[in-house]
Amino acid sequence: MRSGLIAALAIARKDLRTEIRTKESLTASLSFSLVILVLFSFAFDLGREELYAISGGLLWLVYSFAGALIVNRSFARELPNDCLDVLVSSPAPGWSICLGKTVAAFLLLVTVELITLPFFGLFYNIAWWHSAGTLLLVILLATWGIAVIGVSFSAVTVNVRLRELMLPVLLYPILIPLLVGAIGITTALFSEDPQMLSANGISLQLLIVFDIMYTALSLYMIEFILIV
Amino acid sequence: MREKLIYALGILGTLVMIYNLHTIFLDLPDEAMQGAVYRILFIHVPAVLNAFTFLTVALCTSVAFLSTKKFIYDSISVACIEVATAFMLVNLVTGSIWGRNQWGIWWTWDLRLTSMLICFLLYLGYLLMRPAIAEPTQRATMSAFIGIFAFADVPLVIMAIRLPNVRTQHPGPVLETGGMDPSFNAPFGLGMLALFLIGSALVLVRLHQETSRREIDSIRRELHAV
Amino acid sequence: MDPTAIITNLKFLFYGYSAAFLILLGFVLILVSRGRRIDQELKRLKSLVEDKDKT
Repeated sequence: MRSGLIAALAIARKDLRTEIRTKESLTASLSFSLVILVLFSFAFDLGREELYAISGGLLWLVYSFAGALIVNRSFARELPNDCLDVLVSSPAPGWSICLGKTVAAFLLLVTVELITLPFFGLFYNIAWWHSAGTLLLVILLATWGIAVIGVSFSAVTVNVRLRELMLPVLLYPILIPLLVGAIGITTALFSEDPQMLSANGISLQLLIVFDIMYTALSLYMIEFILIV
Repeated sequence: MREKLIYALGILGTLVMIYNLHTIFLDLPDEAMQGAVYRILFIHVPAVLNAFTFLTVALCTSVAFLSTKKFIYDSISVACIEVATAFMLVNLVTGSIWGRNQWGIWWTWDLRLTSMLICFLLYLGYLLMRPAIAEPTQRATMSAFIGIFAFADVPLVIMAIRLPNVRTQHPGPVLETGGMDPSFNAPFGLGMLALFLIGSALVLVRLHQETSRREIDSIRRELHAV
Repeated sequence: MDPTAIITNLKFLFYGYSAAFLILLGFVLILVSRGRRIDQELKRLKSLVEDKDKT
């Protein structure tokens, strides 16, 4: 168990170090989110009320698109030079590979999200800092869910034809319950409407349940995917 | 033998369905508020219950494939999931038509309908992903994985109308709470049985096709090797 | 219920059941056509193998 955790940490550090040095998916993901934010501001010409109503959805849409880009690279970066085979044949247990990559993807995605958030507030005039604590909690919970499911599906689709297309097709339907919960709470936090907040109380528990369930499923099942 | 079984199941299912339709349309009276359209219930609900039954079978065989690596389990999984997807589509479409009549809208994004649509999309993704993987063992493993992951949505669909504090457009549960008129029980049960028999026949047909496909693959490999 | 509502209800009931049966029929037809293609392919390959064995 301990050696597994050490291996997971090593894999997470490797992924993060690669990413920080090459910045390939970070820059792609960050620029993509900013471009989408700008595009949406042209797509919708909204008054204050309607803007608050869609604010949560808009933010999480941008985050999920950015997330797909990051998790896609997660296992795809192991393809050249047979690195994936080396990783699989290493003594590290399957769950530690999954955990390490999930932690790396999670940290990268949270970085992108936190950088995008001020721009979101700027473009759409939304004072997100009023409830920064709860917002941060929601971001962390939902991003962990996106990361853990994304990494598992990245492992599934790494050798599939049209990987960049199949990953979103498989990923987004599974993420919808998670995103719906996150969107509900986020919209309630931005609108600062007490009625909305109480109605979305269950969403936080839903997020935690999904995170635990999907993490357990992914960690258990990754072994079968990698050893094929 | 297998063909006889398929024909027997199919014909028996069709006959039960015809008898049931006779009961539904000619013996049951119109409901006070809904009029005649409530009879859609007798195909809407059995479709989804049968879909979930087949999806549960697919879950078990997916797990079995991952533990034993025998391809027969993969074939049963894909057969059950294909039939279940067709039944889920029936459920979504009949529900939408009923909703148009009763609520005036073709669709709404409440929890029950959304989670049902997600379930349908998940398994549709499963069916779309299978042709994208050429290698049989890899395809079977990935499909088993997706099949297990996708099943996580099924409890959500079932629980959606039973969760407290969640307002849904969809009518509440009647099967356990006994809110259904007792004269509905027989047509309901027969509707379930009819769709189950027809579904099983279709699963067996699809299973045979999957086995033939594997045979084609192995013959092709043999021809290429020589 | 007033007559127009009854007619509307019956219309939707008809649409509902037709949609259900059309979907099931469509699925059966897809299965049958796929099955025919697979059987033809299998027959062709088996005859190829036989030819190869004979030569």
